[in-house]
Amino acid sequence: MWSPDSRRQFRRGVVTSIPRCLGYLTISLAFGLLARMNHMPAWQAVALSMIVYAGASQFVAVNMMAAQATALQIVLTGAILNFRLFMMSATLTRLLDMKMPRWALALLGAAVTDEAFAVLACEEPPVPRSFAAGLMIPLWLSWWGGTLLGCLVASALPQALQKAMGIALYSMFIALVVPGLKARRSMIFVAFVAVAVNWGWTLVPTLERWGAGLRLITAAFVASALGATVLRFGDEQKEEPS
Amino acid sequence: MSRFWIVTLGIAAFTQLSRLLRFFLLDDRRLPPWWERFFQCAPTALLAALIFPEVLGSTGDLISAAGACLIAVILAWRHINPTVIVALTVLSAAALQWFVSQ
Repeated sequence: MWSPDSRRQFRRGVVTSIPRCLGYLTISLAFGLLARMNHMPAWQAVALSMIVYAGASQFVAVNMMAAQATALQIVLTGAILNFRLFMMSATLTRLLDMKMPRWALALLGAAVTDEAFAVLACEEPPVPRSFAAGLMIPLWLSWWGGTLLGCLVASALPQALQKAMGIALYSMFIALVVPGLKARRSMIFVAFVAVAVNWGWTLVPTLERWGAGLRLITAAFVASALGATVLRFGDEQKEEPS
Repeated sequence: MSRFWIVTLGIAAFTQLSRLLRFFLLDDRRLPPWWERFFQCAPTALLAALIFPEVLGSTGDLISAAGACLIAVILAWRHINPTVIVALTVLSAAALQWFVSQ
């Protein structure tokens, strides 16, 4: 059984999670809505939120599935997008109280997200696992709960908005990437190269036959490689897109 | 296995590996600096490539798509909540479509 101190830490985690849960609810609601607009069944949208639990890659998966990209291309794109979690986990292992059973460690590790990382990184180390659990469990629940809500809202959307909804997924990508560009201006160069390669590829009919998925991965790879070679992130403020 | 499950379990496997690797390999090895920078750039590069040029054909006409896209960029630059950005962008696209059709 948990000690009174653990219970107190768990409660503190839950209270800390409340404003973040509201943020998660709105974004996951948008995800459920957009998934339904892109003809994904509601149960698949909720399953993605429960199992993958990583915002940007879920939006990308919906987009690429609708664009008929291959499963391998979608998985590879999701893997590249979510690799940033490796770096967050590396930092968290230095902050968290790691004296816990392996199953507890696995559960906590599996629930690392940008938001959870942002909160835990501001806590005084060693951060108790009960606080981390109190923070992460409501966040996960609100993520897939919001997705379910979004799927329900989608069925009530007026017909007049259906055509304009085509831009919704792209506006979500803009909402994810632009704040990162503002915080770290050198990333504008990376975004520009990615767009240029992606756009250039569409102008070559031989390449275009290879499909949108491969075009996307190539553009991202070239831009990231060029960014890694040319840019130095010295004193710039670090803020990753989620 | 259906395409959906291959995609979901595939992304989940890579994502959880990214999350869990450091929890179970408790040494202080870091990636070479070039690869650290590469993976810092990758999310921005992927999302930017996802947006352009596809966004311009997303509503059926260039004017409403480009106008609504510009509005989304301005709102995102001002750190407006992502769901509000989606709602306002869709409404702007619908309004511009109506305007173009008149």
